[in-house]
Amino acid sequence: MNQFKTVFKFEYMGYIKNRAFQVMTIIITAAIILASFIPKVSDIVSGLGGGGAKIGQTAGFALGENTEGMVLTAQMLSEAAPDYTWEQVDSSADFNALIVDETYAAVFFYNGGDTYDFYSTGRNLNEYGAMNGLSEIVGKLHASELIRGLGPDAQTAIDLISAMEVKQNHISVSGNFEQNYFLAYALVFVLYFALIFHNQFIITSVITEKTSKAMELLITSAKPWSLMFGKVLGVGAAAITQLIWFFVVVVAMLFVNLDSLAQSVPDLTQVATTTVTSPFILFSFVVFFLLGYFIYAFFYAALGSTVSRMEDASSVTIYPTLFIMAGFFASVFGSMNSVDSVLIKVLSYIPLFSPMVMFTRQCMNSAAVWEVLISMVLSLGGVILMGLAGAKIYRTGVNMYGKAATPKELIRMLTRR
Amino acid sequence: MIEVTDLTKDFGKKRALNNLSFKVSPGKAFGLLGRNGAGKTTCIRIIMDIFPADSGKVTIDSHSPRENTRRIGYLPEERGLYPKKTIIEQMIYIGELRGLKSHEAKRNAENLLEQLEATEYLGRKLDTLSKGNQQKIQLAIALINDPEILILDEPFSGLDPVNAHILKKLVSEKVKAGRTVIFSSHQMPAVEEFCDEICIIDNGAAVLTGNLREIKRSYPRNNIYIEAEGNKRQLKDDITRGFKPEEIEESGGGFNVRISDPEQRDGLLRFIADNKIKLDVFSIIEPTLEDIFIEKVGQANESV
Repeated sequence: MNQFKTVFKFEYMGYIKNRAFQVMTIIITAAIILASFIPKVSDIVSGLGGGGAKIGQTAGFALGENTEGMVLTAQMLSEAAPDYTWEQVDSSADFNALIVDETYAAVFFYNGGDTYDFYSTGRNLNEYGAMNGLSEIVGKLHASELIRGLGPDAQTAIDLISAMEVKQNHISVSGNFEQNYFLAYALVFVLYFALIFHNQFIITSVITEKTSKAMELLITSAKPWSLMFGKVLGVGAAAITQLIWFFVVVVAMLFVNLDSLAQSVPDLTQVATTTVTSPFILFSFVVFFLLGYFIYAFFYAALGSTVSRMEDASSVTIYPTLFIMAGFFASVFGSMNSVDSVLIKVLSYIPLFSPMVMFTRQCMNSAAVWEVLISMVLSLGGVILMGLAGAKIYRTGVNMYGKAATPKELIRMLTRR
Repeated sequence: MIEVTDLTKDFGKKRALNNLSFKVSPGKAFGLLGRNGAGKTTCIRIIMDIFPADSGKVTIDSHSPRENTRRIGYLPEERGLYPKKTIIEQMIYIGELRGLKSHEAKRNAENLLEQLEATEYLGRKLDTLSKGNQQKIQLAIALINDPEILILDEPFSGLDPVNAHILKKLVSEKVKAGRTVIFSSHQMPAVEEFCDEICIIDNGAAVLTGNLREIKRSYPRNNIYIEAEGNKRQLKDDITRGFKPEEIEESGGGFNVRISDPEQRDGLLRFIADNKIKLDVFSIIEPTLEDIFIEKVGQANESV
């Protein structure tokens, strides 16, 4: 046990002092802080612009000769495309020039029928959202025009169509889909990168011990299981330390910039606030992070022990990396299409996938608490099995030099008494 | 007592060890000798429990090596540590793995590096040191917990004479202090300097085992050194033609004469007297370990 503690302490401190780890921590911390200040900085910058409509967000609209009798107001356009403040423009103007000289961010020109022109810079994602709203208006105007041709009673129909307004009331019994999906996506993304990054360190560390010939001294000074478990748990503890640090930074930044964030990105702020204040989601995230980390860490450490050259690392890391990627894609794409599909449900109980897939199901309210707990227990079993198998491979693997082990050799190591 | 009994180990089709057996008495220095690829390192790795033998066994005081890890200080043939960590960090780490407390490991590290005249390297990273100095650090690490048994695989290879002298001095002190030391080497003078017992292995099998002094005493003394007055060339021709020794070659002020049988010594003396050669020195030379090694390994290969 003392040897395990010694290796744990050595690996933990070694990883905390590792330059790549420190650089990654600093960059992500800076990114969180910067991202949280963007709305505030953006407000200040726009404030310097004079207090009226934001620069680049004023749009123009113009009607051509064939629209006589049609009613199109700035208010209608503001409702259809709220990202812009609309002003009427002379229909004979050169709209391209108005955009180029930045008089308007966009110009909407309608000359009757079912076609309209939308002039824009092509640089802003809002433009595509605006076009949806404008298409609806054009549809109504065109329908009115057609009905008007039918005769005197048509006016009643036109009035009805003009006044027609469809209101959506989306009531989801399992919460807001977009928010749930975003929450699952964000945390699974964190999990995915944490698994890849930290486990890469483990495999690099094992191979370095072999290439630098330190391994022979180590395995004659300590038991192989102490070396492997100490390394995996030491690096895992450093990863948790980093994760706690990021959590503290996120909470601190939410606290400092909550008002500006809530105004600018209400959905995101809602999700972040829900996460940091939801004990079960936080608990599950930490548990699934640990289970996912350890199952793959043992996998990587065992495979790393069978490689003696850094350039051969990819020939063995491909196996766990494929599993991680499969779990990630199942979570992000599979769950987006149908979180309740049989495949997703089955994957959410298989230890190599469950940390990501079950967590996604939980975030999207597709799994009951008991399902989450069963998945955690199964994952824990998977971690124990992988730890035992890893220790067995590690014991033989550290003495292997030359070519990386083939899957056949790995199976032989596992079955050897 | 370290007992190696009937060790056999194959690597694929190659037999690395073939029923190898020997014993190492406690408190003695033991030389494991052999050519490159003879099986020395394989044998040491099995003693260190790095990998198992296919058959045979190793015991240390009747227990398996696995139960004795902390009693053994090991200098592997393939030396290496963490290149980007400081010497003191690594020495404390290995010391702690071998059961020392952090402060004890630090104190021992400082003392050992002082003895090895390498104190200034304590705070430096391993990859900033020369190969020779890295080797000194490796030896210091092998000694970090003052182990009862020292296993040194080719300890002097690649060292300059000054560093080799420093290392020999430290190892010599350990031998005098009653530590059991196993050397693997093909540097015969160094082994001869320290070792009480030897085992010469060739093609994985022992070809000669026992107490070095007794081996040398029992070994035929076929080399005679003579110095005489008169023309050296004439003398050499006379002995070559008249006595017909196995070999005669000039050495220093005289000749080394190699005879096929120790019984021929009297014949040589009679030849010198009959030919009225005025003799200054007639000395029987004890065989060196190198002579014994070359003869034994040569014989083994001839029989193969």
